[in-house]
Amino acid sequence: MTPLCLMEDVRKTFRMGDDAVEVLKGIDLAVAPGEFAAIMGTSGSGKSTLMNLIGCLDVPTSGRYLLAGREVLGLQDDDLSELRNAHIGFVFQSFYLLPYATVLENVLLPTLYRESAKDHAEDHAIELLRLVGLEARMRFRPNRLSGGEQQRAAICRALMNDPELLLADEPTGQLDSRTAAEIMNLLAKMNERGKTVIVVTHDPAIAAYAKRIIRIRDGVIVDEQAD
Amino acid sequence: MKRTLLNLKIALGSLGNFKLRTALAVLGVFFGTLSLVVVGNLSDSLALKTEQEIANLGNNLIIVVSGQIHRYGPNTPLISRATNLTLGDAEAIAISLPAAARVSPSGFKAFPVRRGNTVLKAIAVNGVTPDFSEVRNFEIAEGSPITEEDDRLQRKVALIGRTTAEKLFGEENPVGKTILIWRVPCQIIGVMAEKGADIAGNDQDNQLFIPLKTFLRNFVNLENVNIIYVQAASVEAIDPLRGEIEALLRVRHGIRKDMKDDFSVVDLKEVTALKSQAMDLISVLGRIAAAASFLIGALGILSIMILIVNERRVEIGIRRAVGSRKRDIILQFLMESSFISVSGGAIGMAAGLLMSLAIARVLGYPSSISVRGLLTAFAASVASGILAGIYPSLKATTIHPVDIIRSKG
Repeated sequence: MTPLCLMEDVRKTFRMGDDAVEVLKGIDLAVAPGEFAAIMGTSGSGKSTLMNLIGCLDVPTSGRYLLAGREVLGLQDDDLSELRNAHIGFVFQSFYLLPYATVLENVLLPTLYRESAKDHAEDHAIELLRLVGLEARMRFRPNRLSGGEQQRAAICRALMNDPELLLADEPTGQLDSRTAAEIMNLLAKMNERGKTVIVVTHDPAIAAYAKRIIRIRDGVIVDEQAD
Repeated sequence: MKRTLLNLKIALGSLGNFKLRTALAVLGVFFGTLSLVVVGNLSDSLALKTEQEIANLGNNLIIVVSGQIHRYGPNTPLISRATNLTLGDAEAIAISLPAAARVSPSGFKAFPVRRGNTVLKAIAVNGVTPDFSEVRNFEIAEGSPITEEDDRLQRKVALIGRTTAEKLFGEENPVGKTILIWRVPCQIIGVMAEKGADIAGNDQDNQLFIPLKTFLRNFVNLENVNIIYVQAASVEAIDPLRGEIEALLRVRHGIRKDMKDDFSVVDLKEVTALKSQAMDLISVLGRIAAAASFLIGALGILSIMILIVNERRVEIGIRRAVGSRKRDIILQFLMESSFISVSGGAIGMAAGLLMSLAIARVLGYPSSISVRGLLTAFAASVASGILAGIYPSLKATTIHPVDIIRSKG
């Protein structure tokens, strides 16, 4: 099967004044469609940088990265935006819902930047909110929702454009363990429905939900294990 | 469309955090559009008024006044009080210059006017010839005009302006009644048609007209007149006739080559040009005030937009993450900044319309809505918003999703 994400010898160097710091030192990674993977690593391991590269928020300094068969290296900013819009749904640690928009409007946000915005986008959004049990709250502002509810709304937003890949960055970092379990179960459910899910975390309990764990240390993948 | 509405809603929510600053910025644009609209409308009103004035004063009219008009001095009375023009001058013009179709000399002075217990302290009393109503376009609404005979026999008869008539008679018909002008009882033989204010704002309906000879003998005891109205035979004749009148009067007044005229010959273009100088000044000042207001408004918007962009770093990062391109972000913030300015502009335009209508009414000018003024004001408010939004929106594009995703890794 063609991998959804394919990295070959990906390196990322950041310039800090005169110093060049190589954060990723040759990553080889293939994630197949339908996988549920966790990227684990400690602070400073390079897992965030790796996530940014997978999510097309940044481009590698060298190496190859193919997302859905498309070479990311050398793409212009606008092309990266388009790639993110079409293929990737982001879930963040701090939810990042827009405070002045309703829950429903937040879920609809990715459709605003889609050229072929569908007429039934709103129906689709409501359907997603129903799926996560937020239908009754869709007209609320995010600040009236609990943390878990906000994260569920954020997951709906990530799913809105029907991307192949859900990329979750410490999705439970601000939630208590019970709510965290809810969110992880929701991600698992999305995975069962065919989404590729990649979770970036430092928490083994969270990583345990994934079927595959990729450990990163000092910019290289040190260990891989699959259930 | 949906995107615009949602963005607008988010922008409004965010502006709510900076109410005072937003109000100040909106106020700047408000005053800018207000002044532009008012200046535009009043200039148009003045142009209309000038046209009306020219038609009102009389066709192909040349005015000879005694004394010199100082064209550029402040508070210059257009018509000098000196009286060194004579009836003889008027006759000479009428007889020797064929291009002068009609010649109507006139004297005027303010006198108290009384009827019963009603006393009006100073009403302009004009001594006029029968030609007057023709030359100056003064029509008689009721009664009969001043005739050659009235003038020759120095009859004590008067035509009364509408305003004066109302003051003295109220609803009563003044024709046939007698009033006391200064100490001379005069019979009112007619009421003038309404004429409105002249370009200087003087009510032309608040005056009296009596035969010129009556005026000269019984009121001022002089042979001299203040002004000679000359109607040229045609528009083309105006300019040459002016020269001829000047030459003739210089000879009659014995003015040598090196001496200045003791009279002035003006045509209506000059009269209206003089009167509109004040308006031009107001125009210029209004535009300067408008420019300053727009500048203040734009700077206000600039500072708010910088604050807003900073406040919404996360929002921008999220928008970028879910696929907005840099140009979407630029467009969004330009729209927000122009929304602020256009809302100020819209209120300013509405207030400017009302204000200019009110001013026109007070000055007795015809009210006019200058489409060009409105469009300029609108364009200026949009432009100031967009210009003020350029820097903040470009700054917004430097915010990258990576900056806001602070996972510890």
